[in-house]
Amino acid sequence: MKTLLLFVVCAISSVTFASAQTDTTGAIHISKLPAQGVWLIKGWKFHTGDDPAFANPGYDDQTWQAIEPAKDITKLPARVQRGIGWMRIKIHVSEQVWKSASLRIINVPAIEIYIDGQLICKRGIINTPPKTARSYFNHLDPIALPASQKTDHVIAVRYCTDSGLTLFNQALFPFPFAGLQFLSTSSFSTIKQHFWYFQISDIASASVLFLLAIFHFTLYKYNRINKGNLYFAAYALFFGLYLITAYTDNFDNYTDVFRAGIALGDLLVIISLLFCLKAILTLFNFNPGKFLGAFAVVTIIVILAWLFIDGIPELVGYGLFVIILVIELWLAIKAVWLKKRGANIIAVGFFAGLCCAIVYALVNTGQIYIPFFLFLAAGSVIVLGPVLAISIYLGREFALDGLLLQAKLSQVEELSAKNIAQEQEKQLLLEKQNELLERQVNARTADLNQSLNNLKATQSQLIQSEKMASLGELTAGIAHEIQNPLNFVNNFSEVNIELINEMETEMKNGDEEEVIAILEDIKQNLEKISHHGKRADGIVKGMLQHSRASNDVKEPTDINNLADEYLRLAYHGLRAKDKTFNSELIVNFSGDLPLVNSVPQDIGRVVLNLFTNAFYAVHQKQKTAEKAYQPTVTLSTESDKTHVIIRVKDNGNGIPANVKDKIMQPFFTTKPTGEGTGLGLSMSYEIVKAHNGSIEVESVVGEYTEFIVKIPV
Amino acid sequence: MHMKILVVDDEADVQPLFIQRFRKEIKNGDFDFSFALSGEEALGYLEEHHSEVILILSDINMPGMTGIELLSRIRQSYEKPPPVVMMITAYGDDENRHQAMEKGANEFLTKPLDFNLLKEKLNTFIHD
Repeated sequence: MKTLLLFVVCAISSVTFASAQTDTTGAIHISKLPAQGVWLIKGWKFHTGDDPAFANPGYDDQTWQAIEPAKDITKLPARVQRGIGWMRIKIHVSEQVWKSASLRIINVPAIEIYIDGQLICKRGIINTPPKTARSYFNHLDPIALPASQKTDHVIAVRYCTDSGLTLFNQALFPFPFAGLQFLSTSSFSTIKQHFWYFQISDIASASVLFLLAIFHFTLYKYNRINKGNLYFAAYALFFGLYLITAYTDNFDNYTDVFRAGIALGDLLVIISLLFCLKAILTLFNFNPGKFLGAFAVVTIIVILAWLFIDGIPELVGYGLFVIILVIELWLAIKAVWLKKRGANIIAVGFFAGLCCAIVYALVNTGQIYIPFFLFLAAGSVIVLGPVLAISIYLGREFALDGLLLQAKLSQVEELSAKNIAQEQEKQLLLEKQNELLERQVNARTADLNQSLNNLKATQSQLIQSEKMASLGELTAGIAHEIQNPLNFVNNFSEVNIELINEMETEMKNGDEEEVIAILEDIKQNLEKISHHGKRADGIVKGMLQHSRASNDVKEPTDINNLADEYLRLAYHGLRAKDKTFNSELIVNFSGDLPLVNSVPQDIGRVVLNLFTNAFYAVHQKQKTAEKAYQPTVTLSTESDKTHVIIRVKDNGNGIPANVKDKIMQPFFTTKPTGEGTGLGLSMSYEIVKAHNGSIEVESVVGEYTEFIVKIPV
Repeated sequence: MHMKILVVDDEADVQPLFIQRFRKEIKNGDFDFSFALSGEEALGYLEEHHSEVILILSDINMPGMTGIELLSRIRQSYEKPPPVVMMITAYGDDENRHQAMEKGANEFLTKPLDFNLLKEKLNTFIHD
């Protein structure tokens, strides 16, 4: 960059060349001095070798070869580029010009300048061997011309190429080999001032860049999420360093140091642009993947090669700068196209830089003219435009993030306030609902209580129904049971009437013995009558008791009697209903059964139910079993120390295991609809439980069922 | 004529009743009563006293073997001479009667027993 700038500044335009003319003797005529001065382009002759006589104005250089030393070294004959040599030029300068002019020199080799044989300027060290020669570069300090009344002069230049300069790619330094310019003192001071301004501008820009670098690095340091700040800081830092190298060039230094500074500057600026690229990619969330790294490596390698390998055209390096800048500009435009936030700012920055660069180039190439300070400003805009744009962008992002955060914060506050309000509302609603719920629960509880009462009423009705149902089952049995004793009562009464008649006869006959025998019979018969009368009475009472609501009065009860009575009732009840039914009844009563304190009609209901079930079971089996099947119902009683145990066993079909658990449940029945209430066993269970007893079932399917009722003594 | 009659009834008091009712006939030696409390017992008795018993009076409704079954068994086991079997029941419906007669009952009587009628029937069978 800087080399280009310098080259352009130092370039020798055709305009300046036109002002110098040659005469017949080959001398260059300079009669007036334009503001841009006069370059000594043509009229030079050169000779390799070293002789102090060559400085002598009278020396005959007819045999020397013509040369244009204002061209850059690569365009000169190879001989010129080696060792020590001399160049001479004859000039014809008007006295007025000579008085007002100074000499300006741009040189590549170390040189000594002789005017009319007199050494007036020395730039660097000319030494033999030439390797120890070292060139010095200073084109801003005017070289005063020696006072002279003459108008014809001879300028001799002794030079020695500096081998140290070949370290760098020569193509990068297209400076005049030995450019000599007559310049008015005022123009000189103007140029010097301009360069001073350039330096001031560079320093100022560098300061701005360093500040920005520090600022953005600080931003990054405290918020590492935004890496854009870091890359931007690096971009600004390297660009600032580059500008500093421009300062250290100083345009007044050993040429090799000057060139090293330029090379370093080029390297710094390319690194800076790579960081700029990275920063832009990061800011706009473009992700080129590993491409960027590869590109950076390639770029650095190319730049290094470009700096150090002779012959690589300068265009390669500058092209690379341009490519990176174009990429960056393209990214900025793409970001604008994608409507990325703040992309406009960066695009404007780059665009401004680009515009200024174009203006700069146009001015430098003499296409247009603008005042110097505008030119200087354009230079600053090239440097600072993109930098400031990115900085502004980052600052804006930071500010917007802050705003966003603030907005979010207020949103959060609003939300939390809303939340609290909602919570309170919810709480209130909940309380209301709780209240409502409680009321509903109370209402439901009342309903439930009502239902429960209804249920209890229904249950007692059902129990009564069950009692009546079982009474119905018993009616026929009861009739039969009453019929038998009544028959006996009648028969024995009739027999007694006969016997009394007979006794009358015998008394008349006086057969006292016979009378006594008859009396004995009558007495026996009366006992029978009484017995069967009581039996009938008992049955009727039992029936009444059975249907009556339980009065829960416990009394000592003979379980044998109770069970026997109900067994008969059940049996005959079933017989009466179904003539085909028959069953063997086996009764094993324990002889020493203690009386049990119980409600007799309740226990009666239990055993009645068990008998009814047993008969039903054997009858069911009888319907399908082979003829040899003998339906048998066994009633047995026994007692241990604490309990009276009643066993009712039938050899019916048994109870499957899956039904066994349910048989005590209310309304569970295996009988066809309408035949059983499903309440028998559940009622029995309740009754036995109320007596603190238990009912157990043992059954083998297809073989038997045995109900075991235990009632505590 | 000595006539052995077997009375089968699960009511034990039937025994004194018959003895009282037929005391004259027993005294005269016309009838000789034996008693069984169940069909099974009756069969056991018949096993031993088959030739003696010529008339059997049996209740139908008894626990275990019913009177009808007893009748069937008697008809199967004792063909010669076939004893007279009279069935007595509290349930004097047609179906019961029909069943008894089908199984080979000679007579079907209902409770309460009319002992005068029974005496007539017995005498009829004896004289036949």
